[in-house]
Amino acid sequence: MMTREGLLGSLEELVLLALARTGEEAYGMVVRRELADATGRDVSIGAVYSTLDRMEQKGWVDSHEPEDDARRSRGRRHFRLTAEGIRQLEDARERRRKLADGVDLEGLKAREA
Amino acid sequence: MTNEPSRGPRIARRLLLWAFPEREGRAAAADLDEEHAERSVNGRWAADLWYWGQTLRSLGHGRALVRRRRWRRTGFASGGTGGAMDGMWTDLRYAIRGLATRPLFSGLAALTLAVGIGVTAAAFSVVRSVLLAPLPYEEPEDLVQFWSPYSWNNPEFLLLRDAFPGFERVFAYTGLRLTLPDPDGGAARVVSAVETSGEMFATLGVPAALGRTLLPGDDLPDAQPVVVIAHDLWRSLFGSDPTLVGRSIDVSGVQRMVVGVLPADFWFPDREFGLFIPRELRPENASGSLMLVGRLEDGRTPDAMEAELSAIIRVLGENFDYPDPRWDRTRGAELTPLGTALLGRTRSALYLALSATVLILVIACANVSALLLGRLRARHAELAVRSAMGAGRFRLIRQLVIESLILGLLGGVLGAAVAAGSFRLLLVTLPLTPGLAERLALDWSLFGIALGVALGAGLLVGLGPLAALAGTDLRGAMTGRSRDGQHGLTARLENGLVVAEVALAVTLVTGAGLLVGSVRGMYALDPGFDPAGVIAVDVVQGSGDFGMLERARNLVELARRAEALPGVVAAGSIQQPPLRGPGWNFGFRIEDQPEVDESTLYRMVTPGYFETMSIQVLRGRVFQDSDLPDDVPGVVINQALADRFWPGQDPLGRRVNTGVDDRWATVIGIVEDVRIGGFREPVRPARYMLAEQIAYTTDQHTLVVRTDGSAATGINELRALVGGLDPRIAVARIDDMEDRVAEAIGEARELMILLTVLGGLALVLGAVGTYGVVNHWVNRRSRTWGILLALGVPPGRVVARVLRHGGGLAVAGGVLGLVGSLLGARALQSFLFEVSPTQPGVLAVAALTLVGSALLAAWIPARRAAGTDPLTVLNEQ
Repeated sequence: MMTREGLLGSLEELVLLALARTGEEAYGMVVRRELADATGRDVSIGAVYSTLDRMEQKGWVDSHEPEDDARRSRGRRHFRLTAEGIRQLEDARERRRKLADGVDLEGLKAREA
Repeated sequence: MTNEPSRGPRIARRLLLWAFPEREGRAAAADLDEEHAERSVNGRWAADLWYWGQTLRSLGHGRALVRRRRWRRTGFASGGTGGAMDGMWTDLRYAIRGLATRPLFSGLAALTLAVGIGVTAAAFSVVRSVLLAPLPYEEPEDLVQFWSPYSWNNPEFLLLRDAFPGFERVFAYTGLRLTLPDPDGGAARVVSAVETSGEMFATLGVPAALGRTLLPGDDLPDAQPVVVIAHDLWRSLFGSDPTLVGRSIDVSGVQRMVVGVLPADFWFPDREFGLFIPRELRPENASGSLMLVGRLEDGRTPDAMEAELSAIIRVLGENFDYPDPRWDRTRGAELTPLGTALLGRTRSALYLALSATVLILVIACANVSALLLGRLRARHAELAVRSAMGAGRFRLIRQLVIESLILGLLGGVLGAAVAAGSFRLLLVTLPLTPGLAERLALDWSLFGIALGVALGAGLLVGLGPLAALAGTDLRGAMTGRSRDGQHGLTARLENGLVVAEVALAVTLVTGAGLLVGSVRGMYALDPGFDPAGVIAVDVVQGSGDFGMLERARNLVELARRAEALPGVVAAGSIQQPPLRGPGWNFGFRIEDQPEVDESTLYRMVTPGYFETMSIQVLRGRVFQDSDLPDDVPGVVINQALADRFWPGQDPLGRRVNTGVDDRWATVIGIVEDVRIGGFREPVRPARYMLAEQIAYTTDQHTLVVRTDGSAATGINELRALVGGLDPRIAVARIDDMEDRVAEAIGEARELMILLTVLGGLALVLGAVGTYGVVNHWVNRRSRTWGILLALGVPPGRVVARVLRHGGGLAVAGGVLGLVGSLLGARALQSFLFEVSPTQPGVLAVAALTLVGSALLAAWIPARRAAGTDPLTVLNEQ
């Protein structure tokens, strides 16, 4: 299923998932860590912020300054999923499910062997 | 949680903040800082490394983010410039990568540029600090120097003083050397000094830094003796002691009160002059050695002073007789801007040097431009692909410009090193005014200049490839249509560059050749004495310390003691050694020829002088120790004087005036002509008199000592000898007579060294350029060579064909270069000596050298062409 902004890119999807897993207090480093821990990919902080910016433009995430004064003063920003962002994740999961449906992995394995 | 925020490596952090938009930059940095702090627990070093890795990998994202934001905001990926900066970063990286993959090519190109940039930046740096710095006087453009330098006298100045029409003020000055005794009792020190009328500083508009300057009342005959000290001398000799002002010091044996210290940047007439004393303007002293410098009235210019000069001449003519046209002040009246008078020779030499270095720079640029053109050819396919992929012509052009700018910058960095290295060399080889070279220092502005020159060079270098690109059909490259001869424009450009290079090199080499010819011409002149093995010691005996006769006795004693030193063959002294300007002259009269009345040069000597200098005695005899002070004075004349006043007669025994007193002196001998004034001065009638017989021994004399070359007696021994006789006798200068001969050759010799070095450089660059272009030409035609050889054409014919191509370019360049030389030689004219700027020999040698070296450079690819294996080449097709 196509959205106006196009298909969810794989890094975008991973970042959205990381946000979903970390909850309200997600910021760049937490997302980066989550990605590294869950996928083994050592993503650069720049890539994370670039992706977050793109998705903020599309309205899938929004950001705000933290309540905590110390954190705010250090320039930190917190990100969270918007309703649209959640819908994108659902779409992505749906697409994958549809694509995976009817694929006989066991049969393929047998053929390769 | 810590309140003390830990931070990552500073530079990495800065880089990160720079690359990202502000908000994301701060957020990303904060994130990295936090993780860095955690990682630091396991080792700071590893954490730093991680931080750097994160930063470097993030930079591209950061810049992309900035561009994306801008695009969202404006609809353009770049701000305002309509896309000119779009992809700049990419192009830059692409260019750097491209250059890095061809290190030999890039290195050679950058090095070539570095040479040109370096020498040009160094020369410009010297020009800037010497010529472009304003003279340290108030409104220096209104200051002028009068004609007849060093020959005005007190009565002339006093007559016109305060009434020079058209002038606000005029002062009269002369230079001399004074001695300052050593406070520790050692040998006295010599300092160059200005002796001036009181209005000097008012005319120049320079106030004292401490105390006061000289005032008009100071030059009255009965005024208290005072002195003003230059800042440098005050610092070096008096330790910047502020209490010096108001104290009396011993200057050449006279107690003078120090009334002031001058500003640090002040100099006049050059930086060597450290003392300024008032001149006693006694009207009865008519010896002429003054210079006049004036400040024009407001709104006047030196060129519009004809009426005023005529008025001055009329007054002079009405009041003085000028029998000798050489010293006639009513002739040749003209005003020279003071800047030109003080820096004139230096100025033309410096601009000449700068022009020569710029030529090297242009040659280097042409060279690199040709290299780039050659590469452009090889890159046609690449450019065509980029063009087909939608890169506009602008984009391709920008790519090329960026590449040449990077090369230029690379050359600039290396060039700054070359500049720093050649700066000292340049100071040594440039004819600068005394004391200037020591005061010029390398500073950071040199690197700024190098960078500026480098950017200019980068753009210049890019012009060739740009022109080629503009005239090329890129699609042709894609379809494979273009081969061998089809890049007509590029080939023509390449050839044109080689021709230009050779032409410029010929011009430079010609200049060097003309100077070499001049210098050789001067060396070939017989100075009239033999400088080999002679040491010259300039001694100064202060006027307050010694009377005229005492000085003469000291000189005789110095020579006597010097002759007693081991390895010394002969010693004597003279008022002013040869090759140091005409200087002293007196009116000359002959007892039985009352009609003769003109000035001739004279020199006071001691008996050993002629033997020491190996000056040949033609007739009669020279002075001997047996000539006593109270004898009838004798005079030794030179051949020129004998020929002038006694043509075909015997001058021996004739009597002439001494010039100092009313006695007559007898001609006792004739010696060969010596180049008294210098190599450029004609030989003039001159007479020598014995210092002890004539009561006129000036404060400066030169002791000359001939050694047997055993080095048993050298500079140190002679210095000690002088100090041993009397510590008040100061040694102003002590060196080999041969060095002084070389010095007398003057600017020509110094410029010759510089131009020869630059000419050699031009020669090498020209040859390299020819090699590069011919090499390309050969490579492009490898198929032709293969076919020719396969058809049985002898390899020698192939070699000849290539040489003909290279030679043709060189000859075209040579011819153009000759035209350039003829134009350029005019700039050199004033430095040449008995060599015509159009000397055919020099021109021919320069042109042939260049054509020869170009042929040699073409020979290498020619041999390769002849060695082409037909099979290999034809199989490639």
